[in-house]
Amino acid sequence: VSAEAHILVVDDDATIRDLIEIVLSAEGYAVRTAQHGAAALELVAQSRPNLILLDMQMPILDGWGFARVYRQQPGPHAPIVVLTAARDAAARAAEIQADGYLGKPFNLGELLDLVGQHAHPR
Amino acid sequence: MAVEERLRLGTQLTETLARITEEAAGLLAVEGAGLRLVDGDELVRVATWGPVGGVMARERLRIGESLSGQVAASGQPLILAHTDADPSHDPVYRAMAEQHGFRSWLGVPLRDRERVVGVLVMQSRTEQRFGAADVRLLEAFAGQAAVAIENARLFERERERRRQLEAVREVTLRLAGEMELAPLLELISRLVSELLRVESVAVYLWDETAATLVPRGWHGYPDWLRELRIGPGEGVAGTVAQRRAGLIVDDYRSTPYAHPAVLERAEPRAVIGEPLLYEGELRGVITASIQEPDRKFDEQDRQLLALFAAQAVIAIEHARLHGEAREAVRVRDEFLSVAAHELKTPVTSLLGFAQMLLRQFDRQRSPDERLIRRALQAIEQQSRRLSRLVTELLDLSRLEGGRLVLDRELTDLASLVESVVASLGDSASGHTLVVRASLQVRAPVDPLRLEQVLTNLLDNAIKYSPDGGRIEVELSQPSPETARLAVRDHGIGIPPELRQRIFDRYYQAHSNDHLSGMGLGLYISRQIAELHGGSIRAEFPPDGGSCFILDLPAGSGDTAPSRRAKATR
Repeated sequence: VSAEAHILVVDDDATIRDLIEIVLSAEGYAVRTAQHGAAALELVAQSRPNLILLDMQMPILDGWGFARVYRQQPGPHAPIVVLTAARDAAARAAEIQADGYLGKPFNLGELLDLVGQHAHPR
Repeated sequence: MAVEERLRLGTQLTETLARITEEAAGLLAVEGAGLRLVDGDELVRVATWGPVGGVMARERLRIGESLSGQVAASGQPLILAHTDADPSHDPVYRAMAEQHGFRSWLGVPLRDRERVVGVLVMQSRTEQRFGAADVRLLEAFAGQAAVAIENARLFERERERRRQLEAVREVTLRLAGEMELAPLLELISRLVSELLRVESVAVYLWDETAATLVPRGWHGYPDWLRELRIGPGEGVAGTVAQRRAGLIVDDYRSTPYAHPAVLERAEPRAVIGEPLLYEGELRGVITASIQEPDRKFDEQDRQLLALFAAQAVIAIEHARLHGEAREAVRVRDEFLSVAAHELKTPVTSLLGFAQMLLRQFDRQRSPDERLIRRALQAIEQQSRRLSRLVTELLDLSRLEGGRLVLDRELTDLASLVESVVASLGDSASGHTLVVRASLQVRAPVDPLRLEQVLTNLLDNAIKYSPDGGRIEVELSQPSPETARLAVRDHGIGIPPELRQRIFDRYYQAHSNDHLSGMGLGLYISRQIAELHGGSIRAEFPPDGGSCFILDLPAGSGDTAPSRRAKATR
């Protein structure tokens, strides 16, 4: 387990944010959460995450908007894994050149596998 | 050929004129004969007979000019005993007559009732050839000839009309294949330009809400036309729309019909317009214009355009219905996609927290009680949310099938408001809820359905005030028959251009902002309000936010019988 890896969870649904935070914290990850892309941009400015779990449909600034602005900022950039309830998660992920994707609803095992695969502490 | 076109002489008429001239020459046994018809203030040569074609050197004569001109001017027959006696002293006639050896001349007018429509001319190489008997004979013949010419003209006109109908039928067939509105309107413009042989054609559609004509298809216009908006009574198109009748404007630039925007950018000389009427309702206007200085539109053009417009509007209506049907399918697909997204969100939490609990019990000797409580709370909350979404879907299905039935009882609205507000719990934690419901108002309502409406209005007020703020709920009685519930928020409000549709099925004013919901809440709320015999409307105070006002019949203890929802489709 990557004990020091820092995960940013961006999702407008409070319960889903809680769920992911509880599960990942229990595995020893440091988790921060944001309820939309704009709040997430503020967090990445404060500290660099090792992985971003990104919902796509959000108010204020959605996943597409976040990815665009985030990638324009000077690097290095954390890998992005898309978490979406949209019909075609793979297509959404491809639209923003994400490093991985997970369709909602998902199994916790799958979530942990993906996070383990992409979250590497620097 | 130019003359025939000008006088609209078809082949039928041309043959008739040649035959009349030849028969008259035979009747009087002369060596040359000719026929001229009146065209405005001129006489035009339309037929000649004889070895040198008579002595009709000039195609056109002014009325009063030369011998034929004098006959037409006076309406009297004229005999010329010999060339030298020409009372008009026309040197052209004299030179031609001498060259070809013609010595005497007789002309009689052709009349349609009293009006002189032409002159029939006989020429002879014999001097003093014509007498009173020849005049009477030729006049009698001319009387019959005028009738024959008129008949031939009527026949030509009828044939021209049939040709037009045929042309319209042909282009109408080409309309039938186009179901998309935009290309259809462009096709209509192109076909009108072919039909009337004009450079510029515009098809405007009538926008009922804005009460303006909007150009939607054109041919031979640059792009500035796109921005043009024409009110009723403005310009040719606006006048046609207002009168619901066709219009021809000859000298466009100097008439009050001239539209400043058009004058600035184009140089139309003559304009024709025809309304697009479907079952008596105005759907739009077609206009066509000519830039060449010599051409004008005539009644025949107008009839042709009217015939075509009658067909075009049917094609437009079909395309519109086709578009609406496709839009309905698209909206339904979109809704299913939104609904699936909405349902998956609570399911994600249910599955996730259930799996988290299982992991807790599998892995740890003493599961964390705080986490277990949190998971169970989430599962309870999300189950309710899922259930609410499913209820909305079922309500939609009931409303559409006309199966939503109210279960009314005389209800104290103040306590209903209190209980709904109390049940909001944590969701309004960031907001200040102000409740003014001290009034004792009882109304025959379905309390569960009314709770549903009020919950929906409050959920919306919370959802669309993401930064918190005050939310006011007020119960009042503006009249003894009416109970009023108002929910006022100070949130993001609804942009003016979207306000009209917020009560529509599936409609989400903020769908682009990805705020959650299926777009059913207000639609269902309005249906429930109307089932109660009440109404729901939205107001947008100048200082921001929204205010939703639900009016219900208040009142007597008599519980009105439940009404069934009427089918919405």
